[in-house]
Amino acid sequence: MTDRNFKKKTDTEFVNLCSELARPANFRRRVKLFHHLSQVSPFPHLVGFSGLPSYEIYAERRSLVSSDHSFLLRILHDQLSGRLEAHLLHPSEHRYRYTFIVLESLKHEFLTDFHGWAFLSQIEEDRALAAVSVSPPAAVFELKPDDEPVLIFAEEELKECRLKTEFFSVGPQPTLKVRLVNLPEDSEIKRVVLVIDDQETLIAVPQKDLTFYELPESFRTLRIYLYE
Amino acid sequence: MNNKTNGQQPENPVVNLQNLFNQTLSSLSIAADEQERVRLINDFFRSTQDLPEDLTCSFHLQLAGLFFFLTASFQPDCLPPEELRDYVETSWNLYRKFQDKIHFAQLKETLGNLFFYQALNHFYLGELEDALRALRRKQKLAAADSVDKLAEVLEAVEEEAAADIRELKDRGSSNWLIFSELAARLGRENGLSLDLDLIQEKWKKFSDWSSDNLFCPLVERRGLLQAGERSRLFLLECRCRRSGGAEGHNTIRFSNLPAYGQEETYLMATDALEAADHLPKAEYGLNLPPCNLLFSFSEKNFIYYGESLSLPLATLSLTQKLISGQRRLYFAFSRQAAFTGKVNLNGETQRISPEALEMKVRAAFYSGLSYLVIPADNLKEARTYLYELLARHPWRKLELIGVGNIKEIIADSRICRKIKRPLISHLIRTRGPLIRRGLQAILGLSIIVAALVIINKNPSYHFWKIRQPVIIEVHGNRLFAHNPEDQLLWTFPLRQPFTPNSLQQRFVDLDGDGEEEILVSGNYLSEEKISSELFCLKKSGKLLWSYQPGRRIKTLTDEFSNHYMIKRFEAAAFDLNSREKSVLIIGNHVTWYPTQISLLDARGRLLGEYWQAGHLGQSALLIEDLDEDGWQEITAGGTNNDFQQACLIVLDPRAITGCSPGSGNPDFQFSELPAGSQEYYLLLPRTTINQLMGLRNYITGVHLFREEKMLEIITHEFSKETSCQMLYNFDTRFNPLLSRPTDVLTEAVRELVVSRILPPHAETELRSLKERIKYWDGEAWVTYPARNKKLTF
Repeated sequence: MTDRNFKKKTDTEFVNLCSELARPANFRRRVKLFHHLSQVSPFPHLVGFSGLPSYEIYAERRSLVSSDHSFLLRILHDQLSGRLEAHLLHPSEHRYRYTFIVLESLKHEFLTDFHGWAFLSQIEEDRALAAVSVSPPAAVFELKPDDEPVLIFAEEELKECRLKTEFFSVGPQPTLKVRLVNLPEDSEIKRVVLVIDDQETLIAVPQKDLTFYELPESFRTLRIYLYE
Repeated sequence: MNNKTNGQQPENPVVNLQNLFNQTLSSLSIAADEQERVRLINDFFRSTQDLPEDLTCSFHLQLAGLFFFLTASFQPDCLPPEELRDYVETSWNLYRKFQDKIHFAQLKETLGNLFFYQALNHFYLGELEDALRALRRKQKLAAADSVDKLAEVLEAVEEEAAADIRELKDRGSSNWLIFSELAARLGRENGLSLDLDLIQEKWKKFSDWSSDNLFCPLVERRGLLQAGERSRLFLLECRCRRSGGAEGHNTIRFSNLPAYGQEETYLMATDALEAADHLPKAEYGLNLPPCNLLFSFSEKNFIYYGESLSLPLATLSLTQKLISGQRRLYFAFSRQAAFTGKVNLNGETQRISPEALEMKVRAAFYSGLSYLVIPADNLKEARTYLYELLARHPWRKLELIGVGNIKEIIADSRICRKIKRPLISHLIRTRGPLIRRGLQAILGLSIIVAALVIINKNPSYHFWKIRQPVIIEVHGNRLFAHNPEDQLLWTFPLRQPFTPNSLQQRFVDLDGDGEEEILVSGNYLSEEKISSELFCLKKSGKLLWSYQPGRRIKTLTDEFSNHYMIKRFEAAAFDLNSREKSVLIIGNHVTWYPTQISLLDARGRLLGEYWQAGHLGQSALLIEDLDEDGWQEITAGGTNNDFQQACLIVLDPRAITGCSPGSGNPDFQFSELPAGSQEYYLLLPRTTINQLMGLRNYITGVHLFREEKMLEIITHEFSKETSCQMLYNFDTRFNPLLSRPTDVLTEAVRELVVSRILPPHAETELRSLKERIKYWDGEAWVTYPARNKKLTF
């Protein structure tokens, strides 16, 4: 969103935009997860005999599965850093890569990385994990420089969906404008995620099927993930 | 069809993975040991390694820490080196995968431990090249500081010169000997010595002989169905003691037997004991007494179930029963051998199941054992299993020993050694209490006899006698103390014998403690000059002190040697207000003159000494408080060689120093002695008869008439047939009262006057001799009664 666009907005419109960005996505396409009975870790018991500190780098706190047992979400405690991490597993890579984990009771969303990992912040474990769902991408596009976006994965309803992209520069960095076209009538894209590389991921809330991203000076292949 | 698909959960690898992981965790929690846990984790890694990494990542990460923790310190046994190689590979894979989570040092520790046990197991198998390679890899670990460098150095490990080692392998009769020779050949210069020592240490558990433990390979039962899973080597230990008379039969107890199948194991052990009893009975006609046997295994976290334990139980029970039955002969079994098999009541072995046998052969094969003892019926199939293993590890030298009976074990010198205790130690062991009691009795009797001899020989210990000596006798160089019943109480040794007639003794309470001390003196019998000594003894014969009179003393012209005889000694309370007594000693030189008057206190300390230039008479001594000042004066009479006439000395016990006054004649003037501190010194005149007929006169007696307070002094003047004496009477201040001759003297003088031998005045002078008495007043001789004016009291 450029400065010129901002100037045209009224104060009320700014407030609406900001609240839209902070508001939970409320994904339509989401899979509810249920707590899965898991084996109690034997490690504290084992090391208890030797009197040594635990050698379990990651301790499993709990695991959640989808009703069809296709999704498995493992909540792990990193003993080294002391933080909670989530590892999402699914037989299909498009289901665990860049998938939103939604902690519904907290109305927080966490996006997994390429390997299905997400770092959870300091959350109150019991309350936060009371109701969890995952929202995998509905469509994935690949965009190479000087090329058109190519659909590499899409849910059945979005097979016809296309993206119009445009690069332009308003400052030192290039800007990418993405327009969603040919969406089914009853479909609403709640989030558009642009993956620049393993390190950098940009999340946008589309406004009238339009999103803008400020890109780094150099980039290679981009991936754009759509979430309903 | 529809029903089928609806009713079943669709197959899903993710949940299956989770289930597999949970199963692994469950198995880990009940695993018997660390080796088992490592195997379970490794199996999980292996079974999931083909799945996409994104799926397995968190599971692997969860187990990686524990895998490294366990493999860094576990001590695997009976493990094929291939399995250890597999663990090494897993370690590498995990480290490469989670390099940011696992410390490099952890990897090195794990690899170090795995390489060490790889080497140990290769040595067990006789694969020297592989073992050395593993040791060198372990050695190289220390130098690597990064994972790339580590990989590089491990790959660069060179192979040992094969020719030498091959010759060694061909030559050795056992894997242990081959290893020992290799270790000796490598010496201590190649940096492997520490590891080789450690391997040697580990291997030592498969060496030596023992009569209370032996190795047995047991099949472990695992899982819900308690299926035999694998075989491990256990050390079976046995302690045996004879049961009490009331029990009358063998009792068995296992200290750490799992609850599962306990009853069967106890029944089997009872049969094994019967078998152990049968052999000595049948072979040697020995009836071993019933015993309490306690068996224990080296590990407790295992479940054993089977019958192949009965051979080791019977074998071990046999020797333990012999030991506890206090037999001279018993057996020790080689720890290079493991025993397995089933025995019947007659000690004959019976075939065991081939499945279990295979596992047992495998366990023995991958250990440091040299022999595996099995039932003879199993020998053929056991060889088949062994050859299968030998196909992979041809240098392993494991010998299978098939036995048909327990006695074949005993007869085989490779696995059993007969030990015969030396007769003495056997007797001590079996008849120990009896011998001990006998020795104690002999010792007791010896002590009593020795005590009786000692008491008999030493009168001091004759407690039944009256312990009050009343007389001292001298016999040779000992003093003998007798009681009133003339029984000998004690003896006292002298350095030289006393002359018997010189013995003087007094029984006085010197220190005022109510108990008498014994003062005894005598002259030593000597071919040279005589000397004397005074002893003060307790009535028990203990010496309190001793005193020898005299010292070397000089006149201006002569010197007297230190040879003095005690003429007389007296003990008296010179201070009338004191309870303590002092001892007065009159000793004269062996040449009769000079004479020393010494005064000692009750503890034998010298209080004073006075030197007289002449002889003092033995009976011319009076101790009496003449001047009534509370101190008893010493009045002694004798003769003065300087003046050649009789003299009387009166000494106050408070001042006894110096020497008698002289005439100025250097022959009689003592050097180094001050003037005497005598109270009175009197010279009694010589009669004419004495002057003409004798050398000098001298005092023979000093008497006190207490009622008259008068002293009588007797001098000897002349001797014809009897002594001719002069009598002088003095008051207590030594004023002369009277002098008169004895009738014998008057008669003698008269006869000589008539014969004109003596002048006429010789008779008349006898009445007036008292006027010629001289007194020393401290400065000069005077003819009137005078006290030593130099005295201050």
